[in-house]
Amino acid sequence: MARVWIDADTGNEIIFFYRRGRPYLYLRDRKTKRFIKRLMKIEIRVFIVIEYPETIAKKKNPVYIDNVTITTITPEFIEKIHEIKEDLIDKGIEIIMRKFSTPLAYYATVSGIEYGSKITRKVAYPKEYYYEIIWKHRPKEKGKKEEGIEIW
Amino acid sequence: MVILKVDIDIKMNKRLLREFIETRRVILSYLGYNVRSIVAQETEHGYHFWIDIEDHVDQKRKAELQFLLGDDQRRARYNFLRAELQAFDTFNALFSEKIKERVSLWKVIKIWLKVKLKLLLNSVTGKSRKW
Repeated sequence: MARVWIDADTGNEIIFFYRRGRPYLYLRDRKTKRFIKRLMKIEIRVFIVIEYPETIAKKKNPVYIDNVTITTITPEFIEKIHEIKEDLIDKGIEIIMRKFSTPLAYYATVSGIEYGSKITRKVAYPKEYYYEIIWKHRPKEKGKKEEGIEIW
Repeated sequence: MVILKVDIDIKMNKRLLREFIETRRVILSYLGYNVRSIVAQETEHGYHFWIDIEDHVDQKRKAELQFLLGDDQRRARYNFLRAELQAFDTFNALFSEKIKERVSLWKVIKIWLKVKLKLLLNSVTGKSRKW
């Protein structure tokens, strides 16, 4: 059965289907439904956000955190996409725990998932994933950023 | 090629949507940019727009242009922070799947236990790994 997602990079559609028992991924036009190109991989990006404002921060230590975990998958792994998404969410929370504290992770919100046709990071499932985290405590302070590739 | 992503949380009829797209073209051409294409996708609350422009712009300018094109104000505020940290391209997202779900306490505990177990196993096998 074919599955369709919106490509977060172009606004077109990513379609997954089987033909003669082999899985394929294609980028197709949203309106005309014509195939634009075959995709060997797609990128999955899971976004996690923490807004810990001054109103609830007990020690007056508010923080805003943006976290993304990214991996690329080939058509063979599409059937496992739900599992991969859950794993990426877990990895994102693990990074927040490691960087900040375990209780703060409880304030995390999984804001959404992007499926992208453009490969921006050289990471491949199931070997590794990429993460990037930015945070800022107070409006007058400068924000900070950390990024890296980790083994699954 | 630069793609600007604009999120509008208002439903529009066909005429208004057409006018909205045309006015985005006018704004960009007034600012001196050439628009290649505009893709609109209806969402639960409004529309997502992907605006393809020919000219190269840096991350800060991209954030500014999205704001000028009417991007969600809350999103624009965070986009300025992301641009300041050179992380705009990574975090400038238009979700294919919106979740907006708080992480459950059970999930946090599960991940914490998993990490602790991994650390314990690593210490037994002699592999070192920092928390």
